[in-house]
Amino acid sequence: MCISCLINLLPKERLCVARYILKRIVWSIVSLFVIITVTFFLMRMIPGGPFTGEKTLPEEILRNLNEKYGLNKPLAIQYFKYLNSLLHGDLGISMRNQGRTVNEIIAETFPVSAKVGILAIILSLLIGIPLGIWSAVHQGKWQDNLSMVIATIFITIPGFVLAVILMYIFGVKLQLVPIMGLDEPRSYILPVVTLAAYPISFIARLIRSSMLESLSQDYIRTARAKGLSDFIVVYKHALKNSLIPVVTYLGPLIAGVLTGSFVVEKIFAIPGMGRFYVESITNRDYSLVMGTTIFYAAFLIFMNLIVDIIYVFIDPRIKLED
Amino acid sequence: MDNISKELFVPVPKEERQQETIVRPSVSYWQDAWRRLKSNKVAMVSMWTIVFFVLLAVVGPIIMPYKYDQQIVGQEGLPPSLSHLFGTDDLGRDLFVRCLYGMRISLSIGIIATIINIVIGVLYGGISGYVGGKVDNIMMRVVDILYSIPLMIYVILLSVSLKPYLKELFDKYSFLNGLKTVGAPLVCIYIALGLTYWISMARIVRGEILSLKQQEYVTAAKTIGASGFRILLRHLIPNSMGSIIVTATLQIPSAIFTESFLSFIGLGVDAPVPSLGSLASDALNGFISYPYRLFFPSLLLCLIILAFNLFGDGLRDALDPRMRK
Repeated sequence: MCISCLINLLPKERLCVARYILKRIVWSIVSLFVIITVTFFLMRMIPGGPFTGEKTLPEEILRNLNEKYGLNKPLAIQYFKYLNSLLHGDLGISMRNQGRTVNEIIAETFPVSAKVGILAIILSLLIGIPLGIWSAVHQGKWQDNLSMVIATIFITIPGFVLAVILMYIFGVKLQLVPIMGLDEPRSYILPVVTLAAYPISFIARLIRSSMLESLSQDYIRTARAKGLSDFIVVYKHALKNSLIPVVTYLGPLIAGVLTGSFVVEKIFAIPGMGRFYVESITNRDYSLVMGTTIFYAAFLIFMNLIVDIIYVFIDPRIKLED
Repeated sequence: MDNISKELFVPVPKEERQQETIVRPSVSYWQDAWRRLKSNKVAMVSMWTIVFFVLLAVVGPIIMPYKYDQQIVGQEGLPPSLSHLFGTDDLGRDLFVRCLYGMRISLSIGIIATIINIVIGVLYGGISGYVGGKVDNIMMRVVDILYSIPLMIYVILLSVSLKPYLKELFDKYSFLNGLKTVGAPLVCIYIALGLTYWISMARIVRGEILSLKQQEYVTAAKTIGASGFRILLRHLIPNSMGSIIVTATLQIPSAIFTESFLSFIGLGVDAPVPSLGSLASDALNGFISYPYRLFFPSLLLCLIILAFNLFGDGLRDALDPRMRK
């Protein structure tokens, strides 16, 4: 779709779009660089290395460990070494998990989180959009009030509270679904629903307000005047424009699902990346914290970039030269 | 000239004159907003709920017979009863008092973090919007970069890396004793939230200032020689106060939420100080046997967040009728 759009544009506009995309890519790289730097120095600021902890290690072993991980070198050299290895796609070695690289840990845990996350995003779109349409079409009636009350409640309840409530009702009392791990398809239900609750409410409210706005536009009146059925007017004409805000919400949605995974994976004992991230912070596993933070940052920046590019093609009204 | 007769020039009758006078006193912007807010039932209920919770959090722990860290020997693990409204935990601490104290912590985080971010956000956004040009461009690029990463990750990184420093600082300097009793982790969360949440505030203030600075009164102030800083502080910021207040009110619940999130994943306040999040997190281990231990702090947390959200929505409708949906 994008490619055909690009071809349809006038040459000048095409150049404009290309320049915009290039600009966004450059800024994404700058953002990523800043985040890498900030993360590096924040982590190095922490007094007491990763090896000071429960038991004090003998002096010699400590020195050898520091040497092995390059912690005894000047900060600037450590920084450039780290940048260099990042350029080669190497996120370093985990300091606490013996003999495992950060890349290995991410490769193992990220797909687990991604599976749950993607399901949550799909679910939130599948329920949020129809709910928003339903309430906009019945504006001011009980359907509208009901869905907006539901949306407000789920925006208010923190994820961890919802997770535990769902776990208690469906896992412990009714015993319909397992409460831990991801061993069978049924065990995806609770984590996915927990993660999707907030986005569902948010999308429903977003769609409702943008739908109400589109429904009051002139072209909708024209469509109705032409004698088109209600169904066509709502789902074909109004919905198309109302979906644009949802595209802009996709970036924050992905970020929200990602941070939500920290809690959900802890509660449901899912061996995903969020749990590893939180554990690595409490363990002061420098390289793992840095590696995962940078991975998260790169991932989100990339996603935002894609969303922005899609946005240009979906909404021709967007101003590129700002 | 001839057809203008003298009787056309009679004085206006008294009744007619009174019709022309302005009977009602003029209503200022804030009075008008307050009147609109008062007519919004949901917002008023939320406002009184917030007042009630704040009073409870401030006064409650003082008048209760137990302290939040007091272990009552022989009364461990009791269910809710009249002497312990929310029951006691495994160490014999009264959960009602702990919840009240946790509420105090959560509310203080919401309010202090919001004050910090108003100061930073308003100045940053104000300067960026008022000066404009290259400065604005650079300042907004910085905001864009910060904005591209979820705040939660910054908050986590900041609170992890600041904590040991603050602890050391509090031990070294005795004049920081006041802060020491608050606890390093808590101060850390205040700072981390304050340092990150100003981003959206800065964006909103910048937008307001950009449109306000085209107004005539700014030109008037300039012609009589007011300095840029004075125009910003005396004219532009007061005029964008409406959206600043609305944004701040809506940021309080999200700061409270973030704190509870951090406490829940074990990065928040240190034991024995409770926060609503850490109480919920503590209750997680035995929640099958003691669901009420999780229920009460979670319910309070939801109510506080809901009240602030609804009040913020009401405020937005009252302060800026154009934004009403």
